[in-house]
Amino acid sequence: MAIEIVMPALEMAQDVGVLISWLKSDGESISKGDLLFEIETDKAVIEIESPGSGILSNVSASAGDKVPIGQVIAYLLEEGEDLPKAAILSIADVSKAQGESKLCVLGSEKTPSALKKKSKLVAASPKARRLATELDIDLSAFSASLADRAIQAKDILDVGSIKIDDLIKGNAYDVIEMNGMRRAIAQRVIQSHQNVPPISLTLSIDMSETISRIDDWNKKQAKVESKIKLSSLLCLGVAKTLTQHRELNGHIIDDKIHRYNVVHLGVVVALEDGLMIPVIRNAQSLTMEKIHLKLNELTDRARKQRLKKEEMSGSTFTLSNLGMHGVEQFTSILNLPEVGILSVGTVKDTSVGVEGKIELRSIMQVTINADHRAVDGVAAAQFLKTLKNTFESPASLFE
Amino acid sequence: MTREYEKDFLLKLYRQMMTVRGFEEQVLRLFEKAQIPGIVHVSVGQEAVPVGVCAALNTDDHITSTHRGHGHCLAKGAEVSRMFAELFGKVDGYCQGKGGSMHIANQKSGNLGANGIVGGGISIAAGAALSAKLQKNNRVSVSFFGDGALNQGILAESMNMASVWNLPIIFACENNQYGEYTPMRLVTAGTIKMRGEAYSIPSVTVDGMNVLAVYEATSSAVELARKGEGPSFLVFSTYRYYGHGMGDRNRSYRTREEEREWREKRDPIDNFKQYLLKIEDIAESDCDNIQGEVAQEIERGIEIAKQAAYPNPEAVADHVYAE
Amino acid sequence: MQNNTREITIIQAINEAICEEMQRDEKVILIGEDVANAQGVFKVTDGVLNKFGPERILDTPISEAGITGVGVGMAMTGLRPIVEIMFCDFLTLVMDALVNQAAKMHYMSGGNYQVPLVVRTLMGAGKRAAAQHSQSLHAWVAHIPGLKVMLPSTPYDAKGMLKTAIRDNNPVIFFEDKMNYQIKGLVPEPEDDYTIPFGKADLKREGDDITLIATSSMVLVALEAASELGEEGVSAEVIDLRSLTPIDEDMLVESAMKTSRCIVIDEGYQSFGVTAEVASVINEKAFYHLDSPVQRMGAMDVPVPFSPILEDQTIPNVEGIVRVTKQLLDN
Repeated sequence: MAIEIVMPALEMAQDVGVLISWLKSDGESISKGDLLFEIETDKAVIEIESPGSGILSNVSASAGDKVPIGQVIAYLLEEGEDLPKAAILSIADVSKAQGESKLCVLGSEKTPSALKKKSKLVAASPKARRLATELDIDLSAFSASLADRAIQAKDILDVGSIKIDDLIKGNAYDVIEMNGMRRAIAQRVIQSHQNVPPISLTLSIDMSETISRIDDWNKKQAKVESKIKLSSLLCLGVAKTLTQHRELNGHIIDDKIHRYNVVHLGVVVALEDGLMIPVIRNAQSLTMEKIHLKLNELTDRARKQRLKKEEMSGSTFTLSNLGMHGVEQFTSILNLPEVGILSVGTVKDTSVGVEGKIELRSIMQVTINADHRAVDGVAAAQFLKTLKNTFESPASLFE
Repeated sequence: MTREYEKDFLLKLYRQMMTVRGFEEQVLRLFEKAQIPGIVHVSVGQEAVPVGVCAALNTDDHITSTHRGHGHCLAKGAEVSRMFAELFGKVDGYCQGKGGSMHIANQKSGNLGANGIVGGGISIAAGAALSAKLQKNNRVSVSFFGDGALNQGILAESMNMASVWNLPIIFACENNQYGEYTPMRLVTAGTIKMRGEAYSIPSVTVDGMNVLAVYEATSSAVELARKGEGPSFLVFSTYRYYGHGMGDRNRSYRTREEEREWREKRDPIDNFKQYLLKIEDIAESDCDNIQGEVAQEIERGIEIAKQAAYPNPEAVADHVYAE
Repeated sequence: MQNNTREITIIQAINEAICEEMQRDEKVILIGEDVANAQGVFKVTDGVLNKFGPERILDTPISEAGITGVGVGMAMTGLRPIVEIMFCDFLTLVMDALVNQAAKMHYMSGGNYQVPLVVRTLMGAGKRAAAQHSQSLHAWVAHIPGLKVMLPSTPYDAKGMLKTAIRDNNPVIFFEDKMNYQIKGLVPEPEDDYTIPFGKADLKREGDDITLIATSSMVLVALEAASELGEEGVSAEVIDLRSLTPIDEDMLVESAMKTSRCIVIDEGYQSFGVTAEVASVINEKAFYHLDSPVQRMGAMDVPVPFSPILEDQTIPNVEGIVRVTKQLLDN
């Protein structure tokens, strides 16, 4: 019975053994336990004993050979025995069994492929990058204005809310960061627009008399700063009218209507890139000159963005004048929590009927927007009526 | 040793020892041919211990085993083909290919498993013994461990608990004289027996090359345990003919003379066969038949295992947690 | 969950869970040092010996490795043991039994053996117990496939989670917190049996600006920080992780997507711990929804000092969480 002599696997994953030397020769008679050959491992030279007895035959490996482990390198045959057909079993079967471990796969989000292109070192959070890709916004346009911090998601979202057809792919456009003022305006108008049920009433006022009186007054003034403007008189007129129509001079706060006895008049001042609403406090009690001075001063400081905090808050009613731009009539968004805002248009020479005849008069349209929760149409109409009277018979304003 | 045994019982012991030896010799060959991956530790020469001990146990008694655990597994009751399958890493193996040689186990025959940690099974066997005591099911546990484990702290802890709680456990030390590459004497202080005596555990040294001596010592210990009289410590003196593992070919830590002495004069199977023939008056043909049957069974087992399938790769993530 | 009507401490909640489960299943056995006659060094097993007798609760020698190994053997042979390891610092002694034996028995045996073992142990610094009795080593065992880890922060959670652990057929390491034991909370009547599953974190507080993910006693610290932040107008969401195996990825990711910012607060040493794992999970699953990297806040990487003035520095606190939150929001 032939006994196979193999290059033995020893332990711990070697694929080959190096045959150092045979200690017995082909044809020699071997007893079980005799030392047959030496092999080399990482660690040492090892002598291999014969697993059985017989004549060493068909030695197929020589000193110095690197033999795959498990491979037959000789046989022990009995006297007269023939060599059997040897089946060489490879170790390939065994190692194939070790399949690929799939346990290490961790689910991760699909990477937007666009993000894989590295943008030129623009610091942006992962969320910002994703949004920029989705909204097709170029991150590098931001980096100048955000020198000191990484671009965040909210930066992208603020741009992204602009209508998409305004962003033309490939064309240059400016990205303007919303500064504090812009944000404040944005926030307030949204709030107002969403929460308030407004009514809107328009009336035309004949300002001819008022204008004439202003001219007279100004002719008598030596100092430039004493020369009053229509805008100042408008403030005074509105303030005084409000004292008679307090329903429009109020706030809605927590479902309660606060009706004020004094008029703190907010006046919209246009700035280069926004607006501010400085407040003339106790406007109803000021004289024409005082209101004029106050208005000038506040407007000036507003334009320089040097208003104090208390000068920007506490208004009970707001006045907005776009007359200087030729706008004839417009409506405004309520300056919450106020219940009323007056929009004043330009003074325009208009042909009107006066006692049956057509005359050219200086006509100015005013529009009151009011919060219908506190102000009904009639109240608003009556306010307008009084306002009209005030300016069409303006003697009281000039006292 | 003048007890009389049933012939069937004696032949069963012989058959089992032949099976263990035949199995282990084939494992050696298959490993050399690189058909068994990984690490194996064969117990050729030590057959009398697992066979003698397990002969004194019931199927539902528990054992824990060591890294050199093929003999324990076979003797406690296992099919040769499914053991080869496990060693090949096939799905039909006792552990579906997931344990391999060092973790082979068989729940149906009470084998809580071989263990890759020296002493790793000792406290588990104590736990099984405590379990038997609390559930009052009259089972006993045997913890197999080698002379190397004598110096693991876990043995001291387990013996202490076994003694204090009167557990039905047998601490079965297979002293094969060497812990890996180091003679036991060089690293073990005191005597082995005194380790049990220190915890008031009845301790005895037994000739581990004599299967009947092993069987008798174990039977006495089992009786004690089942009577509720607690643990025993049996120290079996035995010898492994081959190296510690498959890389240990030189066995430079011992002499060939010593090996020859054990092999030629104290071989458990040869000596038992002589005993059967001369003392128990058993026919040689009975032994030869068994030899032939065992050889066939092993050859068939290898064939079956080779034909068996490897586990489905997706099975890698199964059984991390029980349902 | 039915009406929570009784206010009890975490100790009482754990005691109730143990007693109710021992009542429900005679296979549940409790072993540990000083658990039976002394009723536990923290009185967690108060009354158990009286109720169930010495064959259901056993005092062991001081042999952590041995008793845990015994627990494994018991679990493999039909019982459902609860092993108490007095301080989780002693996990060092039981690692072979837990990691090489308990965790792997089911797998190595190809599904033949189960190990329905619960190891109850104690974590947390702040009691001046010094370096070897103040650690939180839950990351060690969470790292091992085959083990399950739970750590409650309230009585309600503690009771439901311990019941789940006891009824589960796997080795579960249940971490109680020595700083939390006297915390009170509402639980249902005893008749109202409930369990809390693995892998389900708990939203302890809703918020929009930042997510605070915390474990064990750090949940309470996070809630306090959230309260303080709330007064300053920052809305913090607090998630109690509850179990580490598995981590409740869905809840974490949903929250991270909502707030874009996360801090993980855990009492393990900051490096190589639970905080890093949770941060990684969020990074992997919600990377493109984050405005800043997930922050880790663990215990300081020093052995826990004895002197109170030193120890207190090493534990994540309210002030620290508030500070880090503000940094993240400013960025």
